[in-house]
Amino acid sequence: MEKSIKICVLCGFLLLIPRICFAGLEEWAAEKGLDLATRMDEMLLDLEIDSSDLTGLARDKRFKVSFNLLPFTLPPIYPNLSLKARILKEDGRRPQISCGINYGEIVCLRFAETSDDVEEARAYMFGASLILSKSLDEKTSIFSGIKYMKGECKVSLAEEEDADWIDVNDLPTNVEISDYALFAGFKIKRTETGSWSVVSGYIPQAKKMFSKIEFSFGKHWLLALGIYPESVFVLHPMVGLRW
Amino acid sequence: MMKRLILLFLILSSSLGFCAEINPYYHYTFYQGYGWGKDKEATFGNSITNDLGCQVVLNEENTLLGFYEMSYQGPGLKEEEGDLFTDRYQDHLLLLSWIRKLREEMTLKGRLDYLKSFTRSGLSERWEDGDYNYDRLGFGLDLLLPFREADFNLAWRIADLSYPNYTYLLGEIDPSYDLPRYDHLMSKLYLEAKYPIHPQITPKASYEYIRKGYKNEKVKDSEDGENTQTKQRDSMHTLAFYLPYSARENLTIGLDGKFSFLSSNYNDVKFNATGETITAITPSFYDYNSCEFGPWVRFVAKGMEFGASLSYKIKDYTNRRAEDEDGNFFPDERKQEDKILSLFFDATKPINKSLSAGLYYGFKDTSSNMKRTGYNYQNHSLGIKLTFEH
Repeated sequence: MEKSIKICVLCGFLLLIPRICFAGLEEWAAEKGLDLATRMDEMLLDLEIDSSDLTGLARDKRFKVSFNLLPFTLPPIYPNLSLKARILKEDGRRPQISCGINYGEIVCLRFAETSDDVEEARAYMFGASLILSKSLDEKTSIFSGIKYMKGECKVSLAEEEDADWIDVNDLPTNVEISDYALFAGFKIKRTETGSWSVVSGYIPQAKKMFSKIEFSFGKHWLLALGIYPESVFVLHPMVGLRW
Repeated sequence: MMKRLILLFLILSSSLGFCAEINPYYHYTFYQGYGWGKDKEATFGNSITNDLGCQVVLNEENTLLGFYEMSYQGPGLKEEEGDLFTDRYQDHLLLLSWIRKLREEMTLKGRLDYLKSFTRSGLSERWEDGDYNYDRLGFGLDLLLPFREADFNLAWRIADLSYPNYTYLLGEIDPSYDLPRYDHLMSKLYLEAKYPIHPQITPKASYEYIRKGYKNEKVKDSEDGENTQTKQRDSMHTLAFYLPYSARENLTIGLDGKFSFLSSNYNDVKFNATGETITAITPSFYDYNSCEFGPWVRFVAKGMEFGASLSYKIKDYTNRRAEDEDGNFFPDERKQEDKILSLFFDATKPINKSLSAGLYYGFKDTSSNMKRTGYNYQNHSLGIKLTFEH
């Protein structure tokens, strides 16, 4: 049974690949590239949620460190780190209260800064969250929380060397983000170290909905699927590591 | 300020919810599908529904229920007339319900709900600018009344719907016309009866009456097409039945049926290309009668649940005339008639007591003697479904 679930999850991930590969790669890449440049704020919010750990901590844990390995750290598109700590232990009626912080940056932009043509190129996000979680029974728990997100994307050229058909400064790549999200979710313990979880949330100012389904296995591994309706990339399959 | 108050309320209520002795409820459904069809661009679509609720049992007679639902429906998944395949929807529903046991098995439910709905026709439109965005504030009462072996449900609802963005085009020239056209008051009466005629058959029948009174939309005269002082009123009667038969422990088959009758005083006025001359007036433009039948089957085998359903619907407009591809009436002045055939198959595998995954396939064939774009199409959809529930 356990094996068949893993195979199902793996097949699910593999089935996502044709969604990207067979849609006409060149056209697709051009369209997505332009989308990214014009909707950078949305993309940064998505990456921020991807790199956040929004579930409650396990009962016996006080701290947790996590990051998304694929596809954000390898290749180094958006290396990220998330830390979570328990403030109050769950006790009777009182829920567990924990807080988390995380940081991520599009590092390839920093490489661009080494070029003489680029004056400044940075895109980063950090977030802080407060999470309440409550066990419903031995295997299931429910959680909810609030998250504050801040970040920016700044790209400026040393000289005004624009293509004839477009002015780089017209693209809304230079954005500042300061927003908050409300979220709630549900976690089911599968084995001693593995679990299923789902979290769904809303960013009221941006009117943006998000969702994340996670499947953890082994002691440290995690498969996750971020779902961002209306975004440049709707589905974000990820592999993460946690301690 | 309002947003901060809502935020504060949500944080406080969720904190209180966690601290009180309550029964929480959580439901999450995610659909990811691929749609294709004749004369239709293939699309990937998804939908998400996220429900969060809690039940607070005050005492044996009184229970409170708080509920929040957030849902998103992607392009290509909704089918109502007038909607475009590119439309997408985002809804937020807050519901507070009070349930009181009046006496043995007789229950009264009161509800207050607020719905905020966003629609947009494409990515270039902002959610807050959608023409069909609306707010709904509703109140309702339900009475559940068992009588011998039968169960009766009487329900009454009233709701105030406002569409802030859907205003008259004339409002751009004359401010006195800058009014929301679609704002209306809706009331609904619903009666339902369920009675076990056989240990394996418990049919259900229902009657529903919906009345909509528009606040600003005035109807045009059916003779000369001039504006009158009468405001638009729509009413709809629906009779439905549901006939399930539990053939075996793991097999249920059934037949559903529905008859609907809509009547409206809205008269449609058609102008020539320059918009100066009236070419046709159709009285009671929206009036229609429809009937729908659908057999279905559900069975459980090897730990999986399978379902199949077929539905056939005919919708006859009373006065609306069918048009050709160019928008001209046919010479025989035939009335519009739509036929919709739907097929749906699904298979669901429970992974544990709270989580299930499934596959679905749906087919829809819509045909009409209205030959304008959007009335004749076929659509296939294939996808996966994930459900978390507690």
